Amino acid sequence: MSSFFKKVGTGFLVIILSPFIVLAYVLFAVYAVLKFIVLWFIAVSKFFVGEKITDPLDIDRKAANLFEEEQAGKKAKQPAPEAGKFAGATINIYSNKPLDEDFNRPISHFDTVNSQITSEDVKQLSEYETKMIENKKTTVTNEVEEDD
Amino acid sequence: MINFLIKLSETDKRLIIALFLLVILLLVIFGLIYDSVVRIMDKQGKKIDAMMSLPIASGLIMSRKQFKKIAHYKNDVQFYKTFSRIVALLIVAGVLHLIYFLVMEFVFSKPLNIWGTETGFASILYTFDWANIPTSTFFGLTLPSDWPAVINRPHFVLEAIGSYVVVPLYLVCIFGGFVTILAYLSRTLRVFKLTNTLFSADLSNKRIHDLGALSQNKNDSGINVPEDVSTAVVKK
Repeated sequence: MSSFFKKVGTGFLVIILSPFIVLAYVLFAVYAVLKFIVLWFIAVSKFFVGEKITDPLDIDRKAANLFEEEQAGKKAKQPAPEAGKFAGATINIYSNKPLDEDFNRPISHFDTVNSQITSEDVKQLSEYETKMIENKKTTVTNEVEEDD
Repeated sequence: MINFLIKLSETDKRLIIALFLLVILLLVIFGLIYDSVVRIMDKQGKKIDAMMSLPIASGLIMSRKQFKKIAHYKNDVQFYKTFSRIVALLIVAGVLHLIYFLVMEFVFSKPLNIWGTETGFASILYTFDWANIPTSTFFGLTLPSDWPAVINRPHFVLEAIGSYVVVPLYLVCIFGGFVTILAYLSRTLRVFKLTNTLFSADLSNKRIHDLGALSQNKNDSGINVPEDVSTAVVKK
């Protein structure tokens, strides 16, 4: 409720002072237009010298240089990463695109461009895997028989 | 008591209540407009902070005079950048207006009035007969009592097609110019404020021999006592 009365009071003051507010704004607008004309002449004169009015000031350039130096100093102070430690990241890529038949296995970090696996390799691999599984089975059954 | 002095009819009472509510509503609307304008100006003024933050943070600006000079220059350049777009749009609108005027004058031989209801922008707007608005007398005052009659209803006029383009461009220029000048004003005010506050120091609460930091070592009597003496040492 107090904020409502505050709004009403502000509105009352604005209405009373509105002629002065408008006058101040109009005077400033006239000043701004005159300033714009002056700035336009400055911009034109700078254009013929090969400069722009919007170019950064010397102080800005110096400040930017100082900032860059400070950032470089901070980077130099940072300790170097320890050797021998893995500092990589795993990226999981998902795609709706159907995979190539010849390449229907997960992508490994250790794959290189030259070591793309062909369908024959996959066949060999699967055969090798089945052999390994069979061997495992036989060893397990042998172990069981030995226990008996 | 008032009833003895002034005889008020039921209609008069209703009119008074309606007028009172209308005045309150107007005051609230003006208050809200003022608040929103102040908020916008604050936001626009903060741009100076962004423009001056790097030179200030780097410690290259050492004096009030230097700050004032650079901040005003940057403010002027920012105003020039934004206002030049408005001026460019105004020139485009002016050229289109001139072409439209020449076409209307020499091709259609019709007088050009871009704001009028005949061949102007007002043809697509409602126009009210404000001159003959219905009025009623209230305590000797003649006040409007109803909406005025509608003179023109929105309709498309082929000859006014130029004004449908030119008038919105002018309106955009007017609004854009108003906002740009307001932003320039708010940034200027911000520069003055920062000039006064940034390089000022308040020493009213400072003392030359400030013993505030020693307050931790004070005992109840308020006298500064060394730490090892004030705490009792119990030997076991």
